[in-house]
Amino acid sequence: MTCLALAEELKTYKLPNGVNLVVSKREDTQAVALHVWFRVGSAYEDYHQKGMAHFLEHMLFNGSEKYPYGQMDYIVEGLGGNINAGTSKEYTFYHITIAKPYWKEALEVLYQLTQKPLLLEDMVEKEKPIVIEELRRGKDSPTTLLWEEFEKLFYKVSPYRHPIIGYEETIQKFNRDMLLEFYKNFYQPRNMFIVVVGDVDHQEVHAEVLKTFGKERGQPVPKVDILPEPDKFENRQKVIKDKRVERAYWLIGWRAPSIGSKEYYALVVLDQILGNGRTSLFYRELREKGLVYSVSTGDFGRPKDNLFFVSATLDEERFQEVKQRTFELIRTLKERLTEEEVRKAKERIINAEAFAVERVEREAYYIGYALTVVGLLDYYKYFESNIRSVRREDVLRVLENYILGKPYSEVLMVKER
Amino acid sequence: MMFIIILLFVIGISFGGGKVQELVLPNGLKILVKETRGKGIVSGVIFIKSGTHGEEKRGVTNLTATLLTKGTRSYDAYQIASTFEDYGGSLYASAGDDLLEIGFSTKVEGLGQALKVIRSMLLEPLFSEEELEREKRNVLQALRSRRERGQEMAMDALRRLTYKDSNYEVIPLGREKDVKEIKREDVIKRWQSILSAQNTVVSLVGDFKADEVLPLLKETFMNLPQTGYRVAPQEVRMEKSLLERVKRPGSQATVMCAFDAPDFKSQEYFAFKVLDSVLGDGMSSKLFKELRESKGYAYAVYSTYPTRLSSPRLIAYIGTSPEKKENALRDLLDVVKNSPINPEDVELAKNKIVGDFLLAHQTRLRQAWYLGFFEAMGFGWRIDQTYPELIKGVSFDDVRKVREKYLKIEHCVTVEP
Repeated sequence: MTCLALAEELKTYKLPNGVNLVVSKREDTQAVALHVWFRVGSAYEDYHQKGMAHFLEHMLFNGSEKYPYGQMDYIVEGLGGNINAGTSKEYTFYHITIAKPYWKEALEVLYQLTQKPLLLEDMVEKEKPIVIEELRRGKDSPTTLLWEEFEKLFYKVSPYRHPIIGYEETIQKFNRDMLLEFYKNFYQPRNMFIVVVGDVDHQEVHAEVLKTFGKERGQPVPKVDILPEPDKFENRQKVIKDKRVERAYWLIGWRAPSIGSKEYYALVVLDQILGNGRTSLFYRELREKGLVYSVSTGDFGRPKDNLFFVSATLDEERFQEVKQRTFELIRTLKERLTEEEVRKAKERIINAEAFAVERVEREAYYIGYALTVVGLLDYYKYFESNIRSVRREDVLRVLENYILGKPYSEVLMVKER
Repeated sequence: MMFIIILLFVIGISFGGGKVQELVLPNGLKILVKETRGKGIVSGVIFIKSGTHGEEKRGVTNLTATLLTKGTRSYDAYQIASTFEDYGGSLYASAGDDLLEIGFSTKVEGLGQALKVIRSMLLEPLFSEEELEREKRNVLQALRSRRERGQEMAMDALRRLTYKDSNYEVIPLGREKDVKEIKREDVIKRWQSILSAQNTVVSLVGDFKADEVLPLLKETFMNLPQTGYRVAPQEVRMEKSLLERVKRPGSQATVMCAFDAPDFKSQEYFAFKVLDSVLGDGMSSKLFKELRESKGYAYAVYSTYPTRLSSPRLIAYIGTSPEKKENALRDLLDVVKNSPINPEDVELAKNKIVGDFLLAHQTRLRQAWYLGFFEAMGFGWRIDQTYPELIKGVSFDDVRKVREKYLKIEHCVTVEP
């Protein structure tokens, strides 16, 4: 979760009803991305609501006051645009990418979609089999199961331990009233972040947003305490056997600095050094030496209880060897890491951002994520300078404070014979 | 509805619409360059017409492509990767059914070095025994792991069914028994046979001055051998309807069907693109509306019409619960063949295709890809600019005719527990 600073092009507005709006003007493209983010995801659900944030995301496409069911798809696709949405553990967002002349129509669609949904009972029933098919489709993939099991092992208290999509038992019981309550709690102006990226006029966007989203009166948003995960002192391990897999999957993770914290930028640099791209240490020493078929690293970009992971596919019989070598590489990094490697890693991160934001929807996503999840636009604006300020000792400190000799959780998925 | 559709016709929109310069080197290699404005980044794609046509051991082209990035007489794998990654860019090489492609991104200041490395990859690759053996193990593992996912198993089975005895019968990754047998001499021989300037198109898009990069490109590619491999695609006709059932443990069933489709050189190509979009592209498509929204069979359902040198097919897919699969198969065939299509559906689909096409041109890499792809496949690169017009020129009657002509028989596969 990284992004590039373009501070001079950004305008931010706070509407009287609490809506946050960020407009990024870009002259190098004819495409406009419009995003509406809400600070609510599956981590905000209580036990009976498991899967509701995601279910609600589906339901919003089932008709609004102005546009009957199906019409929004026709409008956006008829204008050559794309409309979609996504739900995570911390956020839900709705987005359209469309040619420049049609951004106002797109904004109106997003307004109706997110602020005027009908949430009809018969549509709730219509949507259940679709979402259950989505859930089963996920279960049909061994890698989805692997990641679900990994979070279940890593988090024992935090709601992060539950899958976003929820459970068949909870989904089957959803009804209009439950959804309406959840909707009213969280789809409020004060919980909303609108991002527009493209060759648009700041003030014009501001005026249009005032005319639509700005009209909503809104009400306070209930404060949800996402239970923190207590410190753990032991390593946790789990082996899963699955008939379908043809190779072993290994996932190992440690607690990591929260996104946006000072230490986080050092983690991003460490991640680049260890597992990002073909120049990374693990790619060279594990993949190119034939120990694994693939290897990658990353973090979950979470505002608390974040985690850093290493993921690899390998032959089951080489597991111990791979694990030992991985730990050895991490351990010896302390002595081997040079200033030059840190400098190069930083350059790679910063340079890569120019490619990442070529697509307007990518830039809008970064801004939306910074606002909604990190809670700080500065995360986006000053990302580059924060990465530049990371020193070798910062990288090593993160390594020592979070990874070396620290408790980990690991899942190994192997073939059931 | 109608006013929206008309609007898109009136306003001409283009993404990345700079002027393209074309240059043919004395050896027959074609170079296309396009200038863009931005933060000093550049992307390029090199297409070599070959793909898997004429492969003796299936998978040799893919292995050859992979090994190009693993070392040359002048650069080792790390040096090759860092040439691109240091600037935040990347490099890939892969084989498809009809083309081998090498794509890259870097900063303009790194372009000179990038082209030196690419020249070395093309003219003096090492193809070392050690790397070959390791990559063979990776490919074998990747082939086996396709059995982990129902959709991939279905695709493989469908290829065997509908492309029997042609190169398309096997995915570019190859076939286990052949990959095991591939020797270094096979790779060297394959590369010698397919590396031909006349079969190669180089496409470069970036924030540079064309006059400054053209000499560099000439120098990079002027020594490629002039003549070489002649691609001779085999036509595989669909004679009668076929159904094959494949077993796989899991929570979902996959249904995938192939239908006959027109060749890209035919007048009917664009009408069929529109038909495919009406049937299975996006939330307003027939398959989505009928099988997902109305019947609740699935979360994912769509159709595609990939462009091939020969034997094109329309592919329709649905992933569903095992108990619904027979109905899903029956209804999928019914929707593809018989669902009512009206002029408004056709207009909507045309706008959708044009919009998607333009939005897909946001990155320099995709812009370079489209130019090069169209040229290498035989459309001519200019179609990249006229594509929207050609789609808009399709009439309701054209769509109706191609549907009647082509969607008569089908080859279907189910993967089920």
